[in-house]
Amino acid sequence: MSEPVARVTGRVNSAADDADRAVLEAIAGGDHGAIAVLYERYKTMAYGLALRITADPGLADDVVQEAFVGAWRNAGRYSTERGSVKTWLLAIVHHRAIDAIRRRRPTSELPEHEEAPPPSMTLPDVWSEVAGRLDRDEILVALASLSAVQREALELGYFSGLTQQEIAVRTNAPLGTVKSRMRLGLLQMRRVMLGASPGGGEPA
Amino acid sequence: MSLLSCEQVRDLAEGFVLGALDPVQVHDVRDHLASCTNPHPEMDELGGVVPYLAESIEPVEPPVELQGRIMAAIDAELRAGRRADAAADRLISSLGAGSVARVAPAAAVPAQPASATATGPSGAPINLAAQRARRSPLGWLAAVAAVIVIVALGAWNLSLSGQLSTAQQQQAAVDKVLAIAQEPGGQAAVLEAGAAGGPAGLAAVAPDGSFALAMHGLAATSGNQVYEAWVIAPSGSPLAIGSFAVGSDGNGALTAGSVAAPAAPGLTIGLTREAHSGVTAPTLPMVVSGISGQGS
Repeated sequence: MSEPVARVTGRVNSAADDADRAVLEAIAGGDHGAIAVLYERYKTMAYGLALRITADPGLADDVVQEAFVGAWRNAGRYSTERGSVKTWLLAIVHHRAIDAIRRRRPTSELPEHEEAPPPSMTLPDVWSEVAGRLDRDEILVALASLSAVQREALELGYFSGLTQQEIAVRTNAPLGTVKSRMRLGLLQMRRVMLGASPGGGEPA
Repeated sequence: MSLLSCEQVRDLAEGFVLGALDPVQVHDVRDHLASCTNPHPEMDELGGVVPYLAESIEPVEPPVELQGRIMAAIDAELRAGRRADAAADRLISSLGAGSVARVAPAAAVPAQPASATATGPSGAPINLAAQRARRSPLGWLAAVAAVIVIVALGAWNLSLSGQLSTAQQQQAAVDKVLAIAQEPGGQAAVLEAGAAGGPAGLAAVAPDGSFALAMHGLAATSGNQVYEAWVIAPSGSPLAIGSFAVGSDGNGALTAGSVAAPAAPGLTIGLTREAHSGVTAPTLPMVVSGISGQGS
């Protein structure tokens, strides 16, 4: 799997990514109104994600507010190594939303304070060029290519706030099986998405 | 030293990138990745897909009023930041540092090394103008911290080696405050006296209960006398943090590990002078105090 990735990382960034970075630089430089530009661009994705995770419109409002204020506060710390601005922003929304629902759970294992940024936020998004050209339909095609249990494992893993151990209990499957479904599901999505991307399957 | 082996980290990779590990596991994996010299390509391979799970969700139009709420929240933070800036300015003036290290306004940042650069205890220049110009939420804090160290230096002649260690201690104390302020959810406050020219300093408290304080310009204590630090939540009673004595240099520092105060903005942090340690209620008035704001 390493070859296609190596091919896509060297490409120039899309115009949309450049524009997003310019907005973030403006925010970091003291143009506080520029957050409204970022909000306008990503409000529906951010709110859709927050609502999907929390299933509570009031809580989703709070999550999106916290996420954009957090993005404003941390705009100066954004680095392209963290992927596109969109990826970075949605990772903040995801983190805040998961945090919100875990806090709401009576048996929450979370500590009182806010955890560090979410894992996906600190990972280089090696696919930004490929996936920048992938629309939502293509992502859905990749999801649809998974087996039902793989898809369920990924969705529970990413949207439910449950840990792998809790998912194993919830789905009545051994922990090893849950882990394996998640791993294979991610790899299958990756395969399909690289194939769907124009040029993704071509030789270097 | 990482608690997990590379193999264990690889085994946790899919849970880590999805956010489906418990907080202890997340912490352990993070620790490992931060220090491991071996490659962990599985994180990229599996994690690269994860952002697109977010994009698989159907976009939903948020309530119209949400944008107004967000802008209002940012405005509120900006106002709090300006208050902190103003406090920093008053602090700098009161400490008499204006002539050596006046912080330039954020709007005017031409490089002026001669007037805006001071020398830190390690000999490295501290460019206050540059620190302040970068108006991040932490910017004001860094600027104040630099001023406190510089003013501490100004009180003695650094060419006398015996006093260099005092300055280094002060730098270390301020560094501790900054580190706690920068923890997620960390709170920091500029501690000032009511009158100009009085003692001043910085304090920070993090959600894990860690606390640090660095002061300059305190009157020396004698006998059993101590300075006691207090944290007061907006709707709570004063919580005694710990006490310290002060020598003729006027510097004071304190660290504590388990402050049971909520790490939320608006905490009052202050110092009182007490006849002895172990008091449970502050003897007013406070020598210095400040209101905490977001440090990170």
